[in-house]
Amino acid sequence: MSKKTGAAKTQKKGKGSGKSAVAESGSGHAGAPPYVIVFALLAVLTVIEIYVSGWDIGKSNQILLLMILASSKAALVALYYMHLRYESRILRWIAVIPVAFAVGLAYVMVVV
Amino acid sequence: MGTDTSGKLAEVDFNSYWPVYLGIGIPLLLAGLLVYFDVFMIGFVIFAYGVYGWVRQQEKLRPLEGHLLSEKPDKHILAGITTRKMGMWIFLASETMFFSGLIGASLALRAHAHSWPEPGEILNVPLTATNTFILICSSMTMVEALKSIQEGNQRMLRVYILATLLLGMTFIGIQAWEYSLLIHEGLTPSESLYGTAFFTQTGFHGAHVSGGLVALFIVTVKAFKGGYTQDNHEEVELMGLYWHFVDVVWIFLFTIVYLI
Repeated sequence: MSKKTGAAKTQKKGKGSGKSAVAESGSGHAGAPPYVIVFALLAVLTVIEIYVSGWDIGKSNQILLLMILASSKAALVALYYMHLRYESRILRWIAVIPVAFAVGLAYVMVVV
Repeated sequence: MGTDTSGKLAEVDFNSYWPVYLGIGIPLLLAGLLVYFDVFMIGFVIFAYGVYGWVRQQEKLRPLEGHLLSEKPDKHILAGITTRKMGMWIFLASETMFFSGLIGASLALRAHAHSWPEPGEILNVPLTATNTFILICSSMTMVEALKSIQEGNQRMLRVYILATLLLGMTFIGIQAWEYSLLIHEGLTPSESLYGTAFFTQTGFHGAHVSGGLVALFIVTVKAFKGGYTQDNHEEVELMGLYWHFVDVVWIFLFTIVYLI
């Protein structure tokens, strides 16, 4: 009984045989923005970044703003180009945990 | 793949704790080599026990080989993830740590330095902004290449993968030109802490792009030989993951090295 439900679930997710599992991963996600839109956003954010770097709003405000912009760009690439948004939970954790370490490490090195 | 295999698979324990033994044993072994021989022995025993256990577990799974990838139970934590993809993500996780060490070190140097050049004072920001744009373009062509082969479109796969290769080569070419200009102006790795930080960070990124280009070249050749199909193109996907990761690193490097 439970095996049957498992099989049905498998089919629904499109992860039937090994080959189609590979074919399915990362393709045709419903509601995903076209890659060109992501590209346009990345380009626009880069232009804003360059603009902000010449802005006279105080160094710490500038750094904060630039890091937010850079992180948004990185998140766009990771979520849509690397398909993390549609990946399983474990892959998302594998991607996120080292980032937390990275931020902690940078903070400790600079502040302490 | 009859029901008997699925029945067997339901009984298989897919989790392995043996790598944990290796993870504890290897550092002890290496540290012991440097300090105490006793520690080395303890590390070696833990390491050897881990290898023994892991190999034994693999031997038990061997009869089911081939079904393992495709038929992991749906509720399993690794369901739908191939070993190669998992390996690529773990590799990228370690790369994240590597680059965060480099960037963190340069930030620490900068935070404690007496003076540090302002953006645009030494570096050519417009030139590198162009280069950044080129790398973002190559990321898009890479992901479009994957989409093409997922739709079974061989021709567009070739167009996009070749475009990615050429854009990547352009990026490295411009970076090499930038390096030669800077060295000509007197900024060398040994000239100042600034020079060291700059060349270490961008140099390691450039080395990653160069390595990626070698892999990309291999994937491109295979694509032109018709080596990928709608059902079999995992290498294109893994290539893309690495390529996008290098792009993500550059997004941060461009901001931190050139704009802040």
